[in-house]
Amino acid sequence: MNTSTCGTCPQSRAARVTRLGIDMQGCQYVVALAGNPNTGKSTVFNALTGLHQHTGNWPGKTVARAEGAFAYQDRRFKLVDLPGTYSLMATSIDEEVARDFLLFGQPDVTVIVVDASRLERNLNLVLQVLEITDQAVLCLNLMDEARRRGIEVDTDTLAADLGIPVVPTAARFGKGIPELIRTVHDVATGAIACHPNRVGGQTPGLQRAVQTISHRLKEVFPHLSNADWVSLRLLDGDSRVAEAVRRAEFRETRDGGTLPSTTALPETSSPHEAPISKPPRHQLEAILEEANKLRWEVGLDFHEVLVEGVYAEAARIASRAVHARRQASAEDWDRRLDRILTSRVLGYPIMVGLFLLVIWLTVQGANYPSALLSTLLVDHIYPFLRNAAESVGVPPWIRGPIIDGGYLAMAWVVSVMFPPMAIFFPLFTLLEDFGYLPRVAFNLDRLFRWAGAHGKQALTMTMGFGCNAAGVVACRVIDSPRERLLAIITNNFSLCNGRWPTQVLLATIFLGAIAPAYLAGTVATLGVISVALLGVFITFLVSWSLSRTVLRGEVSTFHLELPPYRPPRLLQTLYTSLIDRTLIVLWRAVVFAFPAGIVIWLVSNIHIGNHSLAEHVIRALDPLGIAVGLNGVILLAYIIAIPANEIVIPTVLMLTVLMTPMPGVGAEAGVLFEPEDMATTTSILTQGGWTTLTAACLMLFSLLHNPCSTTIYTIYKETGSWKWTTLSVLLPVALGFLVCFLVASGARAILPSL
Amino acid sequence: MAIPSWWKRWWGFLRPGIRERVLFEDALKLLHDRQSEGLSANIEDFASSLGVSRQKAERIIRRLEQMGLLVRSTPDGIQATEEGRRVALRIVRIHRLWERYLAEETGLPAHDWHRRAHELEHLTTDEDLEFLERNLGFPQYDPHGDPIPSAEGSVPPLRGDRIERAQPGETLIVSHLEDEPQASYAELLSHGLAVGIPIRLNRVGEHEVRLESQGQTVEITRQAAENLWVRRAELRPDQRAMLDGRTLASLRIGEWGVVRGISPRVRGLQRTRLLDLGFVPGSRITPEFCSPSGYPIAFRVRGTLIALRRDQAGLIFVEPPDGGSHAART
Ligand SMILES: Nc1nc2c(ncn2[C@@H]2O[C@H](COP(=O)(O)OP(=O)(O)O)[C@@H](O)[C@H]2O)c(=O)[nH]1
Ligand SMILES: [Mg+2]
Repeated sequence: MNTSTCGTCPQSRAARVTRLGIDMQGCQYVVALAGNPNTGKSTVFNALTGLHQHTGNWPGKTVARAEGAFAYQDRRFKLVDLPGTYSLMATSIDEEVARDFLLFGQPDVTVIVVDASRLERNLNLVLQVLEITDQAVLCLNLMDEARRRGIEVDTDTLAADLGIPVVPTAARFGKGIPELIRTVHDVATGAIACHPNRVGGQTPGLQRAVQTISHRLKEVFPHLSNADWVSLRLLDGDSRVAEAVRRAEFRETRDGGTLPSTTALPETSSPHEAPISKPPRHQLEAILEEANKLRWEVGLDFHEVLVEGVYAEAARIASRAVHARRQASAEDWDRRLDRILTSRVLGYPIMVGLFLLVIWLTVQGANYPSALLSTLLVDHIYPFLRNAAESVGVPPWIRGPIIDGGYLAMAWVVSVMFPPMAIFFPLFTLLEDFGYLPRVAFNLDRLFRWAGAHGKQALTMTMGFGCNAAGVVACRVIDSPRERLLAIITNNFSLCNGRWPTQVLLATIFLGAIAPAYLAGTVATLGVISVALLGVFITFLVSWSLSRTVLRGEVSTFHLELPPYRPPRLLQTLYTSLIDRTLIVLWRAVVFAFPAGIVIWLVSNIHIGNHSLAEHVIRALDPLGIAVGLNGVILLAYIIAIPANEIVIPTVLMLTVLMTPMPGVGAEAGVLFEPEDMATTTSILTQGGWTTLTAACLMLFSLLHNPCSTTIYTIYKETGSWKWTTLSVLLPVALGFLVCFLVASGARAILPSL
Repeated sequence: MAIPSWWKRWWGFLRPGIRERVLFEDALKLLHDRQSEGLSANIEDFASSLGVSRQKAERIIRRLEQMGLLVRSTPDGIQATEEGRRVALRIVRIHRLWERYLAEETGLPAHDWHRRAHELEHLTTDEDLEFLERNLGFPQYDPHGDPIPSAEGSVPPLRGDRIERAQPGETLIVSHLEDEPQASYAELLSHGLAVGIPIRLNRVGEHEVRLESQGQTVEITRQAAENLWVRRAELRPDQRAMLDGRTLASLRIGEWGVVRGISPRVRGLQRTRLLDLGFVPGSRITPEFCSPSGYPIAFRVRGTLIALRRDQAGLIFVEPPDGGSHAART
């Protein structure tokens, strides 16, 4: 094995672990982390690489694969965190990622992470993985939890029964990680040899069929290490495996050595580097044909018989290795908590109460830091930059768009977006870590079922309150394509963090103002909450109508694993989600807000005739805007703010001032500004012709309009279809116009003065 | 960016000539159906089954004759030629593969399979066909139990026989549900019948057939019974449990039962999924608590809580702890 790339660096000589993060250069070995969902794979991954891959106490948290690296004793290891899978037979989108990697990525070592307190269930997957690979390590994670539940596992017996090394760990507390690393190293280098247990239990007819196919496969791929397993999959009609055979996609490794296993990982979707000599196509087709013929001879229910056999074997192994000491109290505690959180009387009130609490904390808590950031970025740094640029002699046509446009938009996004996100996400993560989210899905399933949707849409909807793009990606946990589309299309109706500030500002100025002073805050908060709840209501309504029109179909099966409750880690959560949010907000500010700011500056400073471009557009949009209770300024702001919803309000303010110049307010054209106080903002808006109706309609429109560009792009990536992307963009806009029009017309009918 | 396939489909529909082709292909299919039942077809049959006027039907037949796809010996004796039979078989093949696909890979309900497959069959290219068949793993029967002709034109045998031919008291397995006429098919579906479901025949009456299925006694009209094909079988343990009809949905909170099998109505990915989660024969399962609105219910399966909706729980057959009360046995 070639170690020269690494032999030169000093720390590699030491027999200790170096966490290399995402630095994956010169890795000699590829290590995969596989396992059932929610067994702590990502936690193990983080412990090994020093990265901060998201973890969460619900199955389906990781939906794509993540990579990192670590070094130990002169060797570099590339580690791949895979989405959880219950087996290697079913294929939902997230599971396919894991399965394809194990099958075709041919990792040097597969670490199978299992939950020590549910060993029997986890062994189902372990036995399946052992069918396709020899080089595996069992990471017996969550040992602390098992102990708490009075479960003891005899690791020696287990290792002997499985034929692979077993390492007990408690990844969350870093326990057992050094041993795990050493074992992985030893297996990779061959210091430990594995002799995995292969499940028999096949009928003689099936055995014969497997041997026939396997024999023919070996003729074509002499180095295929898991020919029996491939044959079995072919007999089971697995089209992904059949495709791999047809394209001769198997990487020949290790003993065959046609390709060094240190080369870059193959893409799972495309054919890999072709083996030296590709077998003739007709030969491959003949094998497939043979398998198809034999399939009908061995009988159709053999799949069930196989799964049953694997489970029986898992039960046998587990019964030898697991000793439950006593009926543990942790189990009782979980059960009692579940009875309360899902009870007929308290279930819903607790859910709504927690929702309100999170929102209230976010809205109230964000005020102060927001003002602080804004003072810093706008009041201090901005004038400094401007003066500096002026004194150096930067011409206005550069200074304008960059500093007055781009920088200010960026500053706004950071000061307005960051605080609510930095509060919301940690709170959300705490609930998530505790294990509450799946209970929400459990409680709400009846409603989603009524709407023809999947109960797990509750999970993706809740994620959407943080960020719609994240919510859309999370939709991968939904198996059925129809229901996944429903969840993706409606995710935008969850009021995301980027839109909270708009809601809060408008509610404070206009709704708060119509109530007596001592109630103003409450009324404003209630206004925001009603809009958020309206979003939930519309999610149901739209899902319902879509599943009766364009997305017709039967409600598919629904299964939801309810994980055990786990005490969340406060500090760790705060730390990771803060870092994480900071990065996201900064990235968005640079990538989206900055260019948008430049555009704003340009449209207000490029003149055609006597008026700026912005004025022309606003005049043209005014009739439409006013018909739906808004105005031209707002519509233009929404067009400019497609990349980032969070700059709608500053754009609106700036454009309003542009249209109705007020002495002493605002800066020059195209300069985003933050009014010193609420009173200024109020006066700008009322001068611009705003009424309570305008504010109410804008609050509605901010809920019901197209998703931001990141979300649109994510929807396209996730659905792979322009058709559905277009629908998810146009549907909310159309709804927004409709609802605003109805509200405006209704209000005007009652109060003609509006 | 490639043109999306749905657009091509619609474009295909709008293109002149496609309507003609649909009629031609449907006419040949009708002829094939009749011939395989040993019947012949006349112009009236064509007109009524294609939904066109007599004149139009006449014109279609004449065109097909010119194309060498059928021959007319007498006015009533219209016969497909070898070539005509081949075209018809291809359409039958496509139709049944689509039905299989719809049943296995989409959530479309059973009564929609036929209609949807009929829409798709005339727009399916040879590549689509190959892709479809390959992805389904070269199935031999469609979800109604009808044989799917192979690419070479060989047709697997239709299994079983009409239910009237069975003896009362016999245990049988549904082997085929004829999907036309629709009313009869719908009646069978409404009783939860599907290919693979075990039943026991009680009585073949003058107007009705009475049988036991999934723990219930059902009566179907003689007319619907025409569409029901069965084969005789010794029941396996899972099939016996299915006949008894005790499911997870019939367990009360805190009770337990041992899984015997999953209904054949659960297909494709969904079936695999339930098996993977541990709903395999032999698993002992307890419903622990339910959602505030009654359903879903959280079941403890091999140490983990898994929530299922009511209709799904009703498709997983169990044997209750007392070893199986054979309530349905008369
Ligand atoms: N008590 C305990 N909790 C753990 C341990 N490892 C992971 N967890 C928690 O289990 C949950 C699932 O972890 P995660 O890494 O996201 O699992 P994955 O879905 O397999 O990637 C998280 O809430 C973790 O904090 C452990 O060793 N002990
Ligand atoms: Mg994970």
